[in-house]
Amino acid sequence: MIIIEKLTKVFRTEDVETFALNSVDIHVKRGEFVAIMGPSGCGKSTLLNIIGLLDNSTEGSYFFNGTDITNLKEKSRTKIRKGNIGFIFQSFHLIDKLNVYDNIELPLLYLKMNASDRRKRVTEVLTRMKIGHRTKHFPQQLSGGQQQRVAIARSVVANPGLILADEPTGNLDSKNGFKVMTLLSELNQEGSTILMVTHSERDAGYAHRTINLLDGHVITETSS
Amino acid sequence: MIKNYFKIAFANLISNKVYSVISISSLSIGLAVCILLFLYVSRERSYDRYHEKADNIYRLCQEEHPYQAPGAAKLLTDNLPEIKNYARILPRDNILVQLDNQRYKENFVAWTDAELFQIFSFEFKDGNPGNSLQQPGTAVLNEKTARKYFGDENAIGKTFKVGGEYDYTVVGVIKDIPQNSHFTFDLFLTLADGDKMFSEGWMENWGWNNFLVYFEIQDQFSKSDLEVKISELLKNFNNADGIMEQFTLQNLKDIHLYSSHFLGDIQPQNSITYVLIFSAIALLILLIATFNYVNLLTANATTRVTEIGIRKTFGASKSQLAIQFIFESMLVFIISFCISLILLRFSIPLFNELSEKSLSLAILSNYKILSSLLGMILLASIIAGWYPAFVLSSYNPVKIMKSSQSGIGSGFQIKKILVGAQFTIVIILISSAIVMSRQINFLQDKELGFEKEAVLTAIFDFGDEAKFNTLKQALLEQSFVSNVSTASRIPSGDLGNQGTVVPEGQEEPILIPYVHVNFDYFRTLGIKPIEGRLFTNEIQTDAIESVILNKAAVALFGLTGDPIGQTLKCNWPKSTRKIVGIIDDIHFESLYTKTKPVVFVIHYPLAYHIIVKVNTPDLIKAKNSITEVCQSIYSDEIIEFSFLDTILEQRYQKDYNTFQLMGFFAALAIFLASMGLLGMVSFILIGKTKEIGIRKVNGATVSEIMKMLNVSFVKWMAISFVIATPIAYYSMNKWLESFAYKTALNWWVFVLAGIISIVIVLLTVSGLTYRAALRNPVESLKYE
Repeated sequence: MIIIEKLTKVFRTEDVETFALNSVDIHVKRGEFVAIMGPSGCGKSTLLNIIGLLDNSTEGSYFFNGTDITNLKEKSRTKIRKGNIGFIFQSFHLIDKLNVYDNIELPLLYLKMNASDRRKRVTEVLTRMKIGHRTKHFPQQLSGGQQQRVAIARSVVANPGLILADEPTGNLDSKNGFKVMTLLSELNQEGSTILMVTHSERDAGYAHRTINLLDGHVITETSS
Repeated sequence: MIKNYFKIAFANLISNKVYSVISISSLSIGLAVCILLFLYVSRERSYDRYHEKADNIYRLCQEEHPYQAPGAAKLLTDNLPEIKNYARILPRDNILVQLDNQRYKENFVAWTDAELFQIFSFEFKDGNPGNSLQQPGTAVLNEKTARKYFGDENAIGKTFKVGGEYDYTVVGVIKDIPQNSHFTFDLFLTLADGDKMFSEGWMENWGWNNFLVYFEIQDQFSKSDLEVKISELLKNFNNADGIMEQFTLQNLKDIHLYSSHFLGDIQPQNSITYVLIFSAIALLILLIATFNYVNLLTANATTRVTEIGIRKTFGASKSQLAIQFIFESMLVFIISFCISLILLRFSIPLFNELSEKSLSLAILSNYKILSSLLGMILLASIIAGWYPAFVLSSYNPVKIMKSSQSGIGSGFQIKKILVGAQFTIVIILISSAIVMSRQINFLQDKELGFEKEAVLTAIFDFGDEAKFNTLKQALLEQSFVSNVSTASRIPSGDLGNQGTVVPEGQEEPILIPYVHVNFDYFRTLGIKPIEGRLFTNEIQTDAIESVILNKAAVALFGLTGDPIGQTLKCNWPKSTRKIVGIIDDIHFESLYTKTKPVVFVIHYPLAYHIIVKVNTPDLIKAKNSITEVCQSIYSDEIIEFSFLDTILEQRYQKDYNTFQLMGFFAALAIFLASMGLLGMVSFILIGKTKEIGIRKVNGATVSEIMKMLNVSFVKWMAISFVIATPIAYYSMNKWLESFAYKTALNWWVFVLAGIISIVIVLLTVSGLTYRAALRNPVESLKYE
């Protein structure tokens, strides 16, 4: 599903060049659950952003589902991203001004799905995440765990093949973190490919394999 | 999707109350003013356009006035094939109309040709345009007058008496002439028997320049060629003395707005200058309101970057985001539009009172006007939404989600430029308002050269001189009456009547305004001679052989040596007269025009105004007693006295109202700009909370922080001032040019305007900064 070869990302300011990623090779097959670990500043999030088509690489190639998207423009990247990739963030990133239902519905709106299909999908995923009783609530009325469940619901509502999670348990206590990880495992078992950036060894334990990054290089890959 | 946009838009409006209140209220006010002035401008531009032949109707004008001799119209129509038809109007006021048992004084009477109703499209209620005023003694009334005279009865065939002796029969009733017409007469009387009416030979009198002449001209013609031909043709007729004047043709649609150069017109008209000024103000106010909105939207957008990032991450394209923001902008504009309609509902009556117009929102039911207005508003909303939409939608989602949302540097520069632009407008408006109010005060305080207080005047038919002298004696017997006289013109009126004078030793006749007066005219008005003497009862020959000039006339005639005792050959009445006195150049006409040379001669038949000077504090009682005395001698007349100072005030009233309106709109613009500034500063402070905290931790005092924030605004104000001053100077200079007597355009006016706006800025910025600077630094740092 994901074939990345010799991927390099350089951040340039006027006189400093920083290599966030340096010739990274990563292959992810459909249905895999991969964890990416490494200390702060090692390039984990940059990698995830590039995989999520939120950012372009400086060098190297990236094939997503067989399509070369190495140097696509923002417009085309948006097109591919829509419906194919779901995102989960450490700080949830829900829209404060929209209620739970509307937040989850958001990706479907941009897919131009008709209203009855949207309702069906959102209701399904709400039940699944056990937040059906909270549809009219606004994010600030929910606990962190609940907010992250809404965010996960949003990331899967469009049935994307790939879910990218950036430290999904980082802002949660261990009990809620456990719930979130269980949910992700279930999604993976149902066929979703998951790429997760994490600091937590325990969370990484849920993945099939772990990629360790340091200073922009892949240093080890371990399978569990 | 639209529902989602609605939700987020409303949620944003509600959660950001300061922002919403400022944007929506300033947009509502801005739109209300804009719509109001739009109504006003379209009203002013609509004058006379309802006539079907408006494009082909032209008025014959001379350089300073639109009045012609009665014979000019026929002569030109007979000789120039371009002219298809003509109609003359002789406008008259103070006309006595008698019915069996009622008497009225009519002020909007026109003696006119039957063709008037073929050229102009007046709507007939009874009778028809093809069959009106052809016959001698026929009249057409408007509906209002017909009802006044005859109630609900059919007016056709009814008769009434004009001026106490001439019978007229009603042959037609027209709908009241719409207010957006350059003339609105109540009575039209035929000119078919003009000779009978105005005494033998007058209709052939080429010096009787009292008629308005309207031509219907064929579709294709060269205006300038025709004007030359007209001037040529009239050269030999217009003045027996052979003075050539330049004639011009004025299209009907231009009369209302392009006649301000005339010294007098059939009815007071507006000037295109004021229409332009009002349009400019409307545009500026809308600009300020829109800038407020754009500024606050972009400022507020910093709090929305997360939403934008999320939307982008989940598949929103740039254009979808842009559409969302433009949609929100439209929504805000539409809400503001609705509020502005409510504001208008209450402000239109007020505006009508001040501007003496009858504007109404009903005009919006005209789909053309409504759609152009809505189109304008939507366009404004798209333009307003465009910039924020463009800026916000192009943010990279990665950066947005990462950064703590303060990195919107380029936007900030634009916002400052917009605030700067607003204050440029404000400085222009403040300095213009100061200049205008100084000019008004200048006009109000100007010494006119005569006493306007406690002078009463009226117009009625005095009969023969003996009868008038009886009245004069009766009035002078009243203890409070100090002087009584009559005149063809009183100060406050126009010097329309011109005659010629040939000074001693010269041969060329000189055209000059005549004022026909009676003994005691100057004493009644408190005018003293600067040389020689005034007319006096003791020298009765003054009536036939003396003349008084003003200083300007002496200069015009080029008299050398002592003017007193020199003789002038006058043509109105034809006589040779000796100069007995010189008076100063009093402000006979309005202060918009320079004082003119005038000759004053005693000539009872033309002196139809009575002037009474009283010396009592109880002016109302004096007015009543004077009216009673007059009425006892002239029992058939309707006698209404007015005070000279009131007439003068009324003359300037329209302008005072215009200035007042402008002052009001300028104040509104300043208020809107300050509100925008308030919103801007509060957003900037939110962004600077951290900086303020860090500075305070490192030892900055409250006043140092206030200084820091103020300095950046004052810098922009200085730039605004530099841009605004020349614009304001230029436009005010231009405006003052329209006045013959004007206040000086002092440099300090602009400095004052600059200081006022800087004070507004400093107060706003300091007020808000003070609160922010006082906060405990720990709080502001935690906030981040």
